[in-house]
Amino acid sequence: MTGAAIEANGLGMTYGRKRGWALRDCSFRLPAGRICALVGPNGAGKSTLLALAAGLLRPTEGTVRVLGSTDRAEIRPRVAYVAQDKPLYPQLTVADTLWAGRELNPATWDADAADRIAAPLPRDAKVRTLSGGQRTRLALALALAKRPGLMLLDEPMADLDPLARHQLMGLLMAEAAEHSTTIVMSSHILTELEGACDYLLLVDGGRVRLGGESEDVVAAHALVTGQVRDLAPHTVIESRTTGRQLTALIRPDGPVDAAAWDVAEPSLEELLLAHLRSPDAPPLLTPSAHAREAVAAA
Amino acid sequence: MSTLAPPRPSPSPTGLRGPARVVVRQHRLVLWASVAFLVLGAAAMVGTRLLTDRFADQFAATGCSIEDTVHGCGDTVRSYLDDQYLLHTVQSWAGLAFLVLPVLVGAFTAGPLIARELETGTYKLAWSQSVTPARWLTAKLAVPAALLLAGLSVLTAAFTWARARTGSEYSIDWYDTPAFVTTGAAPVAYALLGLGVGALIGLLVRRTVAALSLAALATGAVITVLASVRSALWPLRTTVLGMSADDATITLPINPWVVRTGQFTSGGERLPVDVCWGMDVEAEQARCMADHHITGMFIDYHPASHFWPLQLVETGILLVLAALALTLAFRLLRRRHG
Repeated sequence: MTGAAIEANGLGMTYGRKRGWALRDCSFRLPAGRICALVGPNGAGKSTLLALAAGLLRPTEGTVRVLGSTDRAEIRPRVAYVAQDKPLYPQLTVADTLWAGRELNPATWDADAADRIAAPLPRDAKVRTLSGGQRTRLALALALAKRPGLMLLDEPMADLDPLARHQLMGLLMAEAAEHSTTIVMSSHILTELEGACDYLLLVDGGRVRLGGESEDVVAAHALVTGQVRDLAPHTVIESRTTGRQLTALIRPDGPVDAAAWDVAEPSLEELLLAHLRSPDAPPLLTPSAHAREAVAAA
Repeated sequence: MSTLAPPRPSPSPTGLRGPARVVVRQHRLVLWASVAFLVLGAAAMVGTRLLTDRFADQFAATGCSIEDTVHGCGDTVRSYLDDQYLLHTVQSWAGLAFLVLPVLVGAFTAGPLIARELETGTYKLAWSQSVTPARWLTAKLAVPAALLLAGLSVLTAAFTWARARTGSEYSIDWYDTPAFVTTGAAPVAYALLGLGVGALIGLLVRRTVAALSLAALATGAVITVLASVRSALWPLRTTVLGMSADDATITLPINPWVVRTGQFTSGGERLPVDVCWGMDVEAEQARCMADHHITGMFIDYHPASHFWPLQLVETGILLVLAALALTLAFRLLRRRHG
């Protein structure tokens, strides 16, 4: 069994008593080597989860184990994190920024990777003069040149045009594949990540609602259409009736009666939207996404 | 600027490593300006000393003396004293600069150095490299601390050297605030206080302008409070002047710092010096004094030999406050961000 890139146990974070919980009771596991899409609506807790994993925040409760360790000093050199707003020092030039990356990551810095990714950028331009896309490229160059075991990217593609998005995503995937880096990318637009990711975490309302290999999560659900009738023993996530016709997204418990129902595999997007529209649907974690300690305790 | 930034590995001219070098590059402009300011300040001090010497030599050559303005020496003496006074003014301003410097250090540390990173989110970049927040803060503070330590040592030496000569005509008295804040380790201690207060407020307030203003206020407040309680930092000496003719001689050392004068009663109670002032008739005044049972006068003072004890206690207090602020700052950082 491969190790876990992230393993959260009862993870909770609040930014102050009045503001409620940004994240609550999160337990999940992300196996190493995966490209994981962290999806959820705005304000779901995605950024908080990533900042906790990056060691920028201290959890209010619970633990998050990253690359097998909870020692932040040990984790820090092995994790790269790009925050949503792509923070960079505006007064430094592109060359200065890459130089600073080398100074701050002396043990792992890959200057060739940094130069390769930042190649299209004007080296002597100040960061404050760069466009959103150029800033993203520079931030990714810093993150990749660190040669991390785990990359945490918060809305990495948000301010890129489709062409640049495609290009940078390709670059990211190639680098990740070559060095078997685990990547977690958050987005509130699934289509941005679909196709690139083989793992899925749906965070909503501060909780993890779906977790596991994309294929397995999809396969655990079925889109059924038929005459209105009881769907027990299957778990119904969402159902819609049109006249006498019932369409439902279910988690089958045992085989679905193929005579009575038209069964189809839902698309990932249908699956996520159905879950977001039904906040009371029970969470689903595939076996690989279960936190081991939680499993042992159960 | 970019010409100064070779992206290839190169031996550091400053001998600094990692985060400290990054801090230097980030704040290149301010650091260079500070170096220029310190060099200019030291040069100005050396300049006043040399000019003072020259004016004194020229004046000595004229054969005139300040005590004796006859024989056509009037203009020469006046011109000499004007020159001396000008130099004294320069030194007074320099003394004031020593007081303003810690306020500026506090404001810069709190605002541009720390709160701006927290406000604009660049701390997320800094802390997601292979450097812990504690090392980041250490580097942020070590760079200005090293610069201040080196610069202020030179500046203090230059100022002390310059002041040593202009003792004759107009001088900063040993008990004036500028004398305390420009001597020995006090300038460095004041700067470290600014650094500590700035670090703590920067981390607490997290907004550039607010942190900058608050740190300037806080540092200024400490300076003001210390100046107002300075005379109490070492035990005062008291000399007493009795009413009878035998006791009516004051025994004060040369150039004392008179902190308080007043009258005392037969019961040992202390009264202000002016209780019986403003009486027209001498007999009336005598009656007033008798009514109050006033038996003599006292003078609380510091002799000049108290300068170093007073100064060292002040420096010690500053260092303790600076250490306290820095400890709190690091603990706050660790508690919030690990």
